[in-house]
Amino acid sequence: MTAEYEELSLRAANAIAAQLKAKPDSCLGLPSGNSPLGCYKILSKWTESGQIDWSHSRCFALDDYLDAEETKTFASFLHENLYKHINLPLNQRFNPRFVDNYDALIAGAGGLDLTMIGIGRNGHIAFNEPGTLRDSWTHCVWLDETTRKQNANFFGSVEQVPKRAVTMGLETIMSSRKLVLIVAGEHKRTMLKQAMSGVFTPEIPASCLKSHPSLDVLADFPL
Amino acid sequence: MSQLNTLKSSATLVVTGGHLITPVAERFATLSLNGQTIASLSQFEEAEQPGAEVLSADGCYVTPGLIDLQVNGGPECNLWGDPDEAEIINLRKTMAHCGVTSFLPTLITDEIEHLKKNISLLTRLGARVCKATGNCGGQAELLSEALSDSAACGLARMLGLHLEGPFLSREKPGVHPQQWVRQLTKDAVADLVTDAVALITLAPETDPGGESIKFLTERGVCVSVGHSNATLAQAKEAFRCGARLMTHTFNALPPLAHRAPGAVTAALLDPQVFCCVIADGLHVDPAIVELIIKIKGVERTILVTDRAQVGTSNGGLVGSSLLLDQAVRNVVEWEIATFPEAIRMASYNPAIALGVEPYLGLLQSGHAGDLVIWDKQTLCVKQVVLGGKLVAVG
Repeated sequence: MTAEYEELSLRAANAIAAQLKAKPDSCLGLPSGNSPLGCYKILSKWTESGQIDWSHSRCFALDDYLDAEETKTFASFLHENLYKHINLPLNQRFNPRFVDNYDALIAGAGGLDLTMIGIGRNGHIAFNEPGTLRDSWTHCVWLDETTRKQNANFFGSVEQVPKRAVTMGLETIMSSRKLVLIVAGEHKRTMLKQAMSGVFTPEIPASCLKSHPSLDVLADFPL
Repeated sequence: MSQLNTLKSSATLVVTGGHLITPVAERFATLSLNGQTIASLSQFEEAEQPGAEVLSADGCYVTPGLIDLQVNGGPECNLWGDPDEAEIINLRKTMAHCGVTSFLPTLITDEIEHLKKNISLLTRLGARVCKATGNCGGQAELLSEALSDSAACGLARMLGLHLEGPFLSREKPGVHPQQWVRQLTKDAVADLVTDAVALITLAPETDPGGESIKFLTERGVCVSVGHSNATLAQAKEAFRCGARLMTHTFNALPPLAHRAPGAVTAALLDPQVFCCVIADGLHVDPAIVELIIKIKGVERTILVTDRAQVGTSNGGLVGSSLLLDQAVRNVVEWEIATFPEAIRMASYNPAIALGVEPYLGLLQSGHAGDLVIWDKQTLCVKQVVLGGKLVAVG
């Protein structure tokens, strides 16, 4: 783990801890994948030492695979890497796989206060693949081949990567009051620059983020 | 939208790489200032800002400018005597250098004509109240009025005056000259309080029916209970009539006694009331500061200095020798508040108490460009931006 990635993780953890402190019953949108692992480790540590209290918060997974073996799902990922280390009650953990109308559920809880997101090499955010409509809400998708290849390691081979997933839409994400984008790895620099360079284009779903009024971009390389 | 673009293209100063304490959130973004105000908190804007000065805040916290509600002067200026313009300028510079971008010059109990003389001097030198009262102006107007002051010269703003007296308790004058303590009546208040007065500390126990407090709050003057011997019931009545603060909680007030709870108990229990406290480790024990924060929460505690010329230099408590940036470091070092919490108690909270939070006390687009840049390791003030201009910090 590089010092830069450590710093990125610390900043992301700070943003979430501050959110919970300012509003203990915050609704948080949480990603899976490698990028947030460092942040989740820090949050787990801070929870164990009593610095963060999750008991009133509600956490919403951004996305999940469909048709995957349970241990490979994001529900399982979030449990292993975060939920089992923090005092978040079971009935305050939500996943789009288990809910018919995720957006209504989120709205009913007061809306997302802070959502952390990663960015894919093809510009996807959550599982909103290139071509996604800007005004999309939570929906099912066929995964892009790039995305499946990128995640082959988790499943052993590309063939074993599920073909379908369910994800918050771009509108779901953009409706969050705050966004924290974490970008780990220099190889994402070009995509990040492209996403932040201009107006929204469906070919780069992450390009919608630039117009968000409260977006923090955290990267482990100089921006 | 076109206005937003104008703001972006004309940004004059961008602060990059900092850990922003707004202080209601923690952000990691580039902070762009346009002239005297904050234009945006976002990333990927620097490239679009040719000509903008870039200030790196790597390894630093960036916070709003601090606001001190109680400053009697210091070695460079004695507001209790006959300060001249040069002394006031020196005081405003000292404040700005330690990150206090706004403060209330504070006048204590004095002979009434002498007090009036100093009120008009400070008013002439720019002390004024800029807040939304009644039908007076929108945010933009208020902001421009506040900014029209000479912040450009690196002088901290004077957001009006704090009158600490003369309507105090004869039993609790502290170091105030007893002979000038006056009976609180509506007429006496009306005779003394001008439009430049933002805050007044008074002992409410001699105010029949809360008449003076109502009169003051209707005029938009914040009322703070202090130097008082009020009972619990009297203090409760004062808060019901509109008093919203307690001046240097525990100092010049009866201590907590289990059969005589008094004004301090009333202030601690009323969720609307802000408790101001001098966190120098001498005026109250650090454990008492912790007690106040535990009861009031970081939302209703305000750090003040009560800085004065004599201060604690001769072993007594003639005001303090504290500066507000040190008060912030103290509560962090005592481990009774985190740095963001300490910042809140020294910027956003006093702004709310004064009613100026629509344009001061937050890192937010449209707010005044008052910033403090702190070294993350030492929590020392590295740089101060006042009204969008960098203040040289020694």
